Amino acid sequence: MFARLATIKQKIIAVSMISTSSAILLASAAFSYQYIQTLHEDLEQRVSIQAEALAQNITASIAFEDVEAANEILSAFSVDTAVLAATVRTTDQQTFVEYYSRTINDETDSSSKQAISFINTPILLDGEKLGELTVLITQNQLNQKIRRVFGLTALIFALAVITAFLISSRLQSAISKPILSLSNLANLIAVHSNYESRIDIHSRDEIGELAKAFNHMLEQIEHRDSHLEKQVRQRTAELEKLAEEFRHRAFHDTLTGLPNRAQLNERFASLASHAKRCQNHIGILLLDLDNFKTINDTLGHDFGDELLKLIAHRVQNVIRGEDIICRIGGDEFVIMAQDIKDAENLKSTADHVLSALREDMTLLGQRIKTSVSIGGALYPQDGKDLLTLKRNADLAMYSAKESGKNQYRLFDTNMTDSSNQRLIVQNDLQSAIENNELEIYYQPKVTIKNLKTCGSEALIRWHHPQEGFLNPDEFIPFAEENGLIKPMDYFVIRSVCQQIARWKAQGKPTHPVAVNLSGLHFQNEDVLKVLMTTLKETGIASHLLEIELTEAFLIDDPERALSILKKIRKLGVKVNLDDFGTGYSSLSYLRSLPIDIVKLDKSFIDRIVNDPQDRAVTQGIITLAKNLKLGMVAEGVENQEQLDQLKKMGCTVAQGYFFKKPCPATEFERWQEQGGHH
Amino acid sequence: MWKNRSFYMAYLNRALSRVSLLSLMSLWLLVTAAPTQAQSQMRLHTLKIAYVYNFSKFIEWENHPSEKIGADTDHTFQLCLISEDSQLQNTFLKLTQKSTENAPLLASHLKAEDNNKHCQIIYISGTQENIHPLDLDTQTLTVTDQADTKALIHFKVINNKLRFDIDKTRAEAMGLRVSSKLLRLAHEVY
Repeated sequence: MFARLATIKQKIIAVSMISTSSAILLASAAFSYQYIQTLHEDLEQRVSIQAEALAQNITASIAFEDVEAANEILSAFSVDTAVLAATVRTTDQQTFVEYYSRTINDETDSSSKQAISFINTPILLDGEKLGELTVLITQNQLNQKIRRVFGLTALIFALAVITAFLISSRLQSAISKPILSLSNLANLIAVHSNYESRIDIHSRDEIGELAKAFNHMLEQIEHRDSHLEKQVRQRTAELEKLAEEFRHRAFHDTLTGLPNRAQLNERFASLASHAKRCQNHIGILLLDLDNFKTINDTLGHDFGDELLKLIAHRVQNVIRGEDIICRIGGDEFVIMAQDIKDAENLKSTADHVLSALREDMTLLGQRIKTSVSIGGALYPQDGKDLLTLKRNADLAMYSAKESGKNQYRLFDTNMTDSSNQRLIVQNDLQSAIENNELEIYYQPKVTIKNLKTCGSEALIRWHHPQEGFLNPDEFIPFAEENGLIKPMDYFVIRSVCQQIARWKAQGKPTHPVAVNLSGLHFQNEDVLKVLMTTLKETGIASHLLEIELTEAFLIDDPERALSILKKIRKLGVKVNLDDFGTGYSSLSYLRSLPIDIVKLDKSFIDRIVNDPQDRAVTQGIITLAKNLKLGMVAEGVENQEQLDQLKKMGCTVAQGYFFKKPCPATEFERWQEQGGHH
Repeated sequence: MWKNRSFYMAYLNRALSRVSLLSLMSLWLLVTAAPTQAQSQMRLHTLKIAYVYNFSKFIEWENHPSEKIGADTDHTFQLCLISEDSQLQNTFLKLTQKSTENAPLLASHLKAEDNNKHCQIIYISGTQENIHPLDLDTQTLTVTDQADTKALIHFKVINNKLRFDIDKTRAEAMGLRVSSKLLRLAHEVY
């Protein structure tokens, strides 16, 4: 009911109006009832008294049958308008006299016939009943009176209600005003968020308490606000500091503190426009540490990180202040040199860097010899944008690495070939596998003692429809870069197993065939599954399949790699450690790795005849392998002297052009049928 | 008008409990029958006797009947008639029937010469010549049919209706108090 009323003011007025009107209504009803009751009683009493008196007076008239006198007496009722009629009857029921008021007809015309009553009074004379007086009275006048009373009551009620309304309208403000001011203040605060305002407390009632609590709350909010503001200021400062750090990080390398790739991009734009104005060049030098991976693997990442920092420091010391050195990832740095006049100018910068890094370093108590390969490119002739420049510098750097590392090369257009190669591998290798463009070549392994074939190594070749015949070193490094090496190796495994099965079926002599596996296979057990299923499907004995791998397979996760390798060996597949003696090969590997055969790198064999030191090392390896009961294969045997030397040193198996170049399966079969002679 | 009146009469009749059809019919016969000479004479007698009796109700004797000289030892109210009409006499004597234990009443017939001192009311009917001298001190209310200075009340017939005159002065002088109600009904009051 009160819910429809919008304001407290209205509610208070409604409450007081309802209570007041109910009380007045009740009082009026009680009063009216009492009054009407009294009126009725009064009327009856009055008429009774009159009738009584008349009955007394009329006795004589009856006793002496004086109708006239009786009429006269009875007509006394005419003064009472409530009396409509009166009749006197004698005891023998004869009407003695009658009286009718003048208004009787008017009264009877009205519909209120119920408003009529009788009063009977006996007429006694000395206790003897002479007759009876019957008086007919109307209550119409009474009803009129009652109507007047009702009218008056209604008027009083209306006046009382109006008065109550006026008074409550006035007085309600005593309650509603404090509430309204509270609500106004609350609204004001909600709009302006000014928590300094307070409400005046006038009353000590609940509203006063509420106002007090409200003020208290405001105080707390204000207090908290200021506290929050302080906190926000503090947090903002912290955030700004953090943002500053992030800004720094966004443009700097976290390890070395050098600018990063993002800053390089940004700085290049301004340097490029400067160079354009001054008609000179920007030099881009891309530095890549030689064998950084190996250092990281052997000496730990922490050491690698320290090395990078040291190198950064050294390079920074030799370049000009206005030149920028950035670390763009891993062990790659970029030097961006401005105001370069020509290639010679850039070459001298590269020379400075090389010589600075060539000096031995002492790091964490360890002397270390490092070298870098540097590729250089010039803006604008080698590229108009940084991406091209970097790519070309990268090509130059690869070229430097290929030429024996620890040197620099500036970009020239011939170098784009190798980058083309990379693209070719990326785009075409997958379809090459599917389209049978890859072919397996076999190179025999020969027992030195009797010069008989004892096995072979499977090597892959690519007959590219446009590029022609591609050697492994032309596409395998790129296949390793993009992961395509995996499906390619699987293809080799399957092809080799199928070939062995075919030879077996044809009744031809079968020897173990070794398949090269990339180190990338040793990240999960996929290769294990491929080996298992292929052996099963082709049905060949597992000792006919061998794998060859380099130490590089240990790089990422040595424990996992070793566990996979052990599982491969359990299949019965023998493991060749390829290219032993290059890089950071350690003799301790021979002892610890789960391998079966060691393949001595060609670089040893090359020098075995003339270099006594290499001969000594080779002898050591052979002796150790023998002691460890490992097989031994010498790679890259090219002449009789080498073979003789190896025989003398106790090497059992050899492989190389001296016997046979790698060749297709059919040629390999033919060669074997001819007796395996070179 | 008539309709309304009869309507109210019905109301009135209903209010009266002892109305019976029979009584109404006898009443009707009584009213409508043409009265004979003898009947009207009889009726007049009856009225007069009733009036005499009724006078006793509206008149107070200063001395109680019992204390009257020569009265009987009981409180019997004495009503006396002097008349030669035997019919009248018979009717009058029936008044004794109205006697009650609390208000004993005796109606008696006297001769003109009889002592009438014991009577509270004496009705002298017709023209009586030799009435025993009325003792004015005896507080005897005398009622006559003719104008007689000695009588306190005398009947007269006006417009065929029985009326009476009252000598209030003499009555009061005699120590009788006449009710105003009665005085009001009197045709004349001296």
